Amino acid sequence: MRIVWLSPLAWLGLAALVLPLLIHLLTRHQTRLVPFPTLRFLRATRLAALRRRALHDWPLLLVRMAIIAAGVAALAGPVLVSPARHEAWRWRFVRAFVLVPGPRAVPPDVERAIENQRSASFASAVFRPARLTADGIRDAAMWLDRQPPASREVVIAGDVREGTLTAADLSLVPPGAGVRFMPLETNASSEADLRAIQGDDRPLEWRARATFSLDVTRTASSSAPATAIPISVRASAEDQRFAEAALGAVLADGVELNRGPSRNVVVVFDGADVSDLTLTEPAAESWMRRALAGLPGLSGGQSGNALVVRVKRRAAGADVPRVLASVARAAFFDDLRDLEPNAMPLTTLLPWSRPPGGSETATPGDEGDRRWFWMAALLLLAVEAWLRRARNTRVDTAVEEERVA
Amino acid sequence: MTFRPHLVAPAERAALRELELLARTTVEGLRQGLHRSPFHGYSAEFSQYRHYRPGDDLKYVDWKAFARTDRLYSRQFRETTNLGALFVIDVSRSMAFPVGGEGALGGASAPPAAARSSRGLAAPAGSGGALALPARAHTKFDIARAVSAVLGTLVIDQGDAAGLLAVLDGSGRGAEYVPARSGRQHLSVFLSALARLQPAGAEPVAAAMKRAAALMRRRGLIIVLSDCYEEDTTLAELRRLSRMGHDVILMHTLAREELDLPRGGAAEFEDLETGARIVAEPEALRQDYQNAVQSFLNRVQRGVEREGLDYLRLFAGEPIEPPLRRFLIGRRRAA
Repeated sequence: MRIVWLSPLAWLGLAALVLPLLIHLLTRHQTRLVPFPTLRFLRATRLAALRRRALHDWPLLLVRMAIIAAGVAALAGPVLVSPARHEAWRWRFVRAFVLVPGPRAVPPDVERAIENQRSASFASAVFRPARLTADGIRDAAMWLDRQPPASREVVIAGDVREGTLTAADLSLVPPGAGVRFMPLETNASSEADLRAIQGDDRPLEWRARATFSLDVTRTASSSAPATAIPISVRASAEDQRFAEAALGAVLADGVELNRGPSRNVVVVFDGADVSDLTLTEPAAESWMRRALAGLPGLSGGQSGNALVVRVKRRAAGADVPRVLASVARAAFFDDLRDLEPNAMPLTTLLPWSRPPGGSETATPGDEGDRRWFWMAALLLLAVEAWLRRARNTRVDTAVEEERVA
Repeated sequence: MTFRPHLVAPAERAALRELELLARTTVEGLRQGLHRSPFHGYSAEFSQYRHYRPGDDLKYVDWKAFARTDRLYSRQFRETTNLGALFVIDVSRSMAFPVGGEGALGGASAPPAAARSSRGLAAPAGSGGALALPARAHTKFDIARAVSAVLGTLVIDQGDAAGLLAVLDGSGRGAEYVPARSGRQHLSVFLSALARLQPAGAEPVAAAMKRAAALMRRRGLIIVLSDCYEEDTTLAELRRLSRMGHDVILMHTLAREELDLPRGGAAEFEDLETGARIVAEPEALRQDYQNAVQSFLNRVQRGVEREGLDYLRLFAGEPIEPPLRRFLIGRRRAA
């Protein structure tokens, strides 16, 4: 068994042990020495005498020093770490839930699951990073470090999109603490109910069944002009019309933007003619370069003052509106990692998972053990009082015997 | 215990001369008031009657006077040539108080050397005629030594014998003993032995009194000079000597400084005998201490007088002639 001290600086209070001895020695030297023929009359008049037994009454001195030591030890915040206590810590769980930021709300069943796990935990917290999952992991790690010893775990709930989480981000998790992923419905096939593009210019009606990456579920088929968002799409000759129709449908449906447009955005699918775009590869702005570096499905560049997002696929398929909606929304954020629509597969996430643990390395918290030292101090106080009473009784008896004699 | 003659070393001569001067001048002064010697022996020449004291030999009791007066009288004989006086001096360390000769408190009550002009205390030559004690006569031991010198001179001058006994330690060698002798030459021996004594012993005066009882084969005068802090044993030995038929006088030597505690804050008091120390606050203890000391003095005096013995209290640093004169006159009258 070992003892961990939560406030070791309190041990400076042990200096108080030295003070009585110092005072005794100094005052002994400072008190004038008076040779006297006999002390029998001074002993007989013991009342109010400053009887300086010091160093003659070792038991009393030791008890008094032990009282001070016990009090100081209690103030130092002791934590008794025994094997039984270690085992108890191992079987209690501290969980930090990190909700992956994204447009998709946490489904109710996932929320219920999170709440159930929280209620079964010794301590838990939920972190909702605004932008980056790594921020949430960092906050969760800092919170875990402050928790009392227990098996610790970081639970990442949500669909982690490609490029938004790396092994370096997970290194923030304290050593020994577990990592677990709770994905939502990932890569659910967003079956957009698309009507085939008609030969006329009737707007494309599009209603997305899946809620992934889109906040809007309603459909609109009005001919109201699209939201004035400076975004355009380019695709191959045969896909261009479909792509434009899909973009039009998305914009007509409404795209929830987090802020107003501040730049032109050009979405370029494979096969598109980009000869008129002067792409600066790599992207002129470093933040764009960094943001797009980890996104396998996208690449980016800049042409003039327009942000060019290249989608490494053709503009074909039912999920084109979803991709366009995601790009349209994310294009107005600074961090282009939000552009990535694809979630990381579980095969990528599982190797990063590990079981909860780390109770041995956690810094113990206050387990209330200082009460034992306070009780010891009280007990020693009683012993000290008993010793003093016993000595006074002995002196009184001696004085009485002298008087009788 | 054997007596070994001691040659006076040159360094001791000054102390001896001082003592001789003190003794001589004091005795001269005393004689002016005492027409007859206050000390009596037990010779065949009848001198006078005195009241019976417990321990007096019954063969000296005047039974006829008892029949006439219903009071017991003991015959006393004037001839002092048979008087043997032994001075038993306490040389324990407590007799060195006040330390330094000026008192432990820087001369709180030590009288100035030129104060208390009194007949019989002639000033040392060149001091302008002022009567004074020797400069080193401010401790209890100094007073005891001075009184012993004076009375010893008185006794020897009247043709009687005087001796000296002091026990320093428990071994047989740690003692100073001068058998009681008479004669002027013996006076020098007596005074030189007195001059050599120092209050550095570890034995209480009761040990010396016990030895005195063994040494004094004949009844005589025993003068005990002590501070009597071992009052039980001292009084017990006094009673024993008295029962043996000796004429016992207790001269209780004290210092004014020990009747009260020093002024000022807390002080650490060190016992001169044992070396033990105690820190005490004098102001808090003063009244109780004074009461304790006073009751001690009363106990000793009562204990001595209850046995019919003579008691005299002397204080260090004060002239010895006035109290001696009063004592000796009173003793002569009582005789």
